[in-house]
Amino acid sequence: MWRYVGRRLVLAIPTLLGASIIVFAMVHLAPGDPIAAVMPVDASKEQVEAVKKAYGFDQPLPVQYLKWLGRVVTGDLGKSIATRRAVILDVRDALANSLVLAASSSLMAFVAGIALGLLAAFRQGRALDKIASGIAVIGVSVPHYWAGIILIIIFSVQLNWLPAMGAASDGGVVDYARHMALPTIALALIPLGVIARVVRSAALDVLAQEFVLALRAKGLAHRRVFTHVVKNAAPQTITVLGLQFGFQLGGSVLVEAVFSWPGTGYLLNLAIFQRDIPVLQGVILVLATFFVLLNLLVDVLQTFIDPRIARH
Amino acid sequence: MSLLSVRDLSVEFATRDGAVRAVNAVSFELRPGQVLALLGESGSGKSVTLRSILGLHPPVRTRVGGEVLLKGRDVNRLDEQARQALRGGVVSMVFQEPMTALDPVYTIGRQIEETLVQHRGLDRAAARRRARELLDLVQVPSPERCLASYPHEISGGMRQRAMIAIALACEPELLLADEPTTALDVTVQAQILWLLRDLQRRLGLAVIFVTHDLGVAAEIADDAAVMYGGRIVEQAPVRELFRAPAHPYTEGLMLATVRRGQKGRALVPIPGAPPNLVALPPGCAFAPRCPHVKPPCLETLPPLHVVAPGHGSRCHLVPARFASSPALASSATGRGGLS
Repeated sequence: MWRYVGRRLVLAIPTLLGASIIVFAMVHLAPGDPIAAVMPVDASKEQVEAVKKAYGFDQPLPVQYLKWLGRVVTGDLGKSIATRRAVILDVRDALANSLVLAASSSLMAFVAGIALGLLAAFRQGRALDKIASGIAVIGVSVPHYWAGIILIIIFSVQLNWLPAMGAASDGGVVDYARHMALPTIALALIPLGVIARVVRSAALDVLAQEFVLALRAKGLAHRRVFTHVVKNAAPQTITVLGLQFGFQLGGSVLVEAVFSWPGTGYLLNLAIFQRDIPVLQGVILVLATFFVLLNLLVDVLQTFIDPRIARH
Repeated sequence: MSLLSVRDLSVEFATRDGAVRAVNAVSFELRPGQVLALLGESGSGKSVTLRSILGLHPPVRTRVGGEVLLKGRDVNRLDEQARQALRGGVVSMVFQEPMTALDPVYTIGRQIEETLVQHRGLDRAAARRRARELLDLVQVPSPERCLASYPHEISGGMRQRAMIAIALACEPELLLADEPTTALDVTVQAQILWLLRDLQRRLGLAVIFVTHDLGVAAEIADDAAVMYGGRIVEQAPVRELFRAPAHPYTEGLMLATVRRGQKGRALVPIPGAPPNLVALPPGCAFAPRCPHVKPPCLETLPPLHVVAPGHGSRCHLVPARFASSPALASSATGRGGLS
């Protein structure tokens, strides 16, 4: 078991290196010149060259990459072109906000999605299945930024119950939670739908297997059979939970923009419009690392649940 | 009193193509300790009959008619809780393929224990001790290791032994064995068969043994019932059935089977295919494939003719072919079982 975990950890390194190369290459693939973006329009050629030299843009690409990687692994993600602040600080604050939002929306989506999925599977073909599946389809189909706008219109504008924008203004926990409520709901919709559907189909797959009949044939009570089904459907579900949590971190650009929630998505959005390449690189790199680690965690969790996986 | 009495059982599944009549007016009785072989090819209704005895059919899109009286109580009229107590407690089932019939993510030990916890309310330590005893009973060579193993970690034969251990955990009176040796290697088949026969004798179990293998039926059963198109077409003590089959389908099965001491005899396949259960013919379901078919066979359902005491056949030709048999004088009870 621990050898398997070790092997997976080692295998994560090339994945991360690959991600870093793509992130690095972005500077050169992206349309537009970052130097042009920061320099005044009337800057002289010499001035441009001087800035290029200062940022190391005049060196060959592999050299630039290795130097950049060397700085990245020590936690130096460079300085924001727009604000001149260290990127690592911006990313850290944004990541903290995004993590909290991702955690709360994931929790909401996981609990509701799993409950809906199981309900639908165990009532397959009946009214409850249709209702639960309908909610799931709405969840995956409705654009979450639009749902966010609707939520703002109802709960902030019409009812005036919850704040529409930003994070906490006074730093209190209650205030923070009140600001978080609407983005949490908006962000939970898609994973809720996805999870409900995956759980439903995973549970149906298990229910169709002969051992479920065998469990009933030996007189097990419903709740015990239910436990068997859940445990068998868990590995597949956990994979999706991990992926969805990853998407929550990276995929909240639009929702964070709608609610002006100061997270990584908001920062990414800002960086894109300002052509702030170092910030862009930093955010993407940190998110990619999170994704890889999350996948690793999911794989390891699965081996603990299903003993057959570690052998393959 | 009979342990099990199946009366006029019929099972229908609603499908997109129409109602599938999987089991049709099946009746039979089973005494405590009696071994009945249920013979027939795939789709003849054997397994569905077994599931009806446990009341295991899904409530939706299934219609069950007739009675399944287990120790005098109709399984279909019991509430779910009473049925759960019967399943595993009074009747248990051994499945054809132990790999798919065992939960892959639970150890063998847990799967035996949970049955004991459910029916006997044992605590974990007591359940573990009893699970060990059960593995000894089914002759698993290293029970401790088997208890801690997951199904994929042990051999097919061991898995089937574990399955039998689960079935016997709460000392049932009736064991339903659904082709328990079919999925195993030939050498292991014999071992499992001997084990089942040995356990049956030692524990005085009544057994319904579903198989399509006449040799297996001859080894283990007292009586045999041959199913075709969802009906029992012939029923007799096993020896009688082999000595004097009274239904063309049974004869066909025997001609198509390899038998000891008959080297050089060509096997004769039964032409055609089993009937479509959605559109059963009005007459005898076997008529389209029957070498002796006569006009009435295609029109009316053959009644049950008594060929000899305890030996019945649903074939129109019985009176003509067995005219000399004295038992025929009292034949033709339209429905109902023998024995």
